[in-house]
Amino acid sequence: MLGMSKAIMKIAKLGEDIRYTTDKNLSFSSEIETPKIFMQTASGYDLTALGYIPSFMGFRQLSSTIITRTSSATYIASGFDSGDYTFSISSTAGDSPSWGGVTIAETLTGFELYVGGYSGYFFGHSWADTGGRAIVFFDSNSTETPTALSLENTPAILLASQGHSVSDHPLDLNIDSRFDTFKIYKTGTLELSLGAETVTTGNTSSSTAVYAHNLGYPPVYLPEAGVDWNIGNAYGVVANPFIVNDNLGDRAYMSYPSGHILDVWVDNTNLNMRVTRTEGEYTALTIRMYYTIFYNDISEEFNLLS
Amino acid sequence: MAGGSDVPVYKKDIVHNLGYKPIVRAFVYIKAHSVNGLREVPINYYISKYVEDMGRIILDTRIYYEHIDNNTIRFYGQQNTTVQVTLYIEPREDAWYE
Repeated sequence: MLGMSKAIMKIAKLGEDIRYTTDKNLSFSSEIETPKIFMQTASGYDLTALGYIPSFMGFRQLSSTIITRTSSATYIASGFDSGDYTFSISSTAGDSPSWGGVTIAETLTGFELYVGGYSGYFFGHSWADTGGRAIVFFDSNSTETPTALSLENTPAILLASQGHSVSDHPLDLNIDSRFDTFKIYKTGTLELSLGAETVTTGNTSSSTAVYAHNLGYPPVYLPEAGVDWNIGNAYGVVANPFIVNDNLGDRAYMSYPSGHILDVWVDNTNLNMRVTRTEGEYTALTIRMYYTIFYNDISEEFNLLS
Repeated sequence: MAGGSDVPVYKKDIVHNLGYKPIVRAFVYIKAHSVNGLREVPINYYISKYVEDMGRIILDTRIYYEHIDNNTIRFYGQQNTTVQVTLYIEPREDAWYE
């Protein structure tokens, strides 16, 4: 008697034999979940109808008014403009934690997505930045059972997760062509090799590495590094080389950063990584970031639930 | 009145055995002193507690993580904190599509 089997769709990477390769060498597998994006917005949104807390990725649109304070009286110009975007980092060491940036919070009636406004203060030095952006996808961040969605009848490719049917909530589908997903455009490495130097009082020293994506719009990127990241541990020691991707779990954004300040942001043409040294004595340091750029446009807005 | 950060720190390991450091996205829902909402880890925030003979004090605490090696991620935070963690298999640093 033949055993029960399930339909699986796999696509191998270039040069690999789909019949024999390992999961590591797949460019796609229906057994592996991919995020399903249902909304991109620059405004707050009432999520009560969803019945649970979805996942999100928050961004902020920068501006020329943003400065970096290295002391209560001293600041350095950021050099940003309205075409620059970075991640909305939801908390900082030393700043008020109510500066939530893009976040989802519970209200009297359900859950609400906050993008700018009262709960949308961003870390930084401009009060109540209004340039917030959110990408919202179905992955759950709570234990509530999602409310059934009423979606428009449209041709679609659906593949249910094991134990579910294609009529179930998109949360339980491995493939759902009715929604968007993150589409990888390019990966690569940005590296800065900083020499030993002395930065004198009142001065700074900056170095920037750039990848020209030339997409014509600000694309979603990883890793989730924002601006004004004061790299280094509690004692000010920076690992050498400093791998941005490996230190995201402990990133600190200080009210008055000093030492090495890392900024990562994207614009219509480039992915940028900049390190600024404030006053002090410095030894040589290498900073490396493994980046991924997606086709997804941070500035785009849509709601696939309506 | 802000106090020191003497909130006990607990740790929890996630052993993924991927052989590389994957992208981590972790969220925690916090209802604490002046914080209400879903926040991405790492997060620094304040909690308040009542101490006899002192009154209510404010303490800073944090939730954060680190890659212990290519197979293990360690999370740190207060006891009984629920953190929703997603590990992304792709993209990774040795991805082929560069």
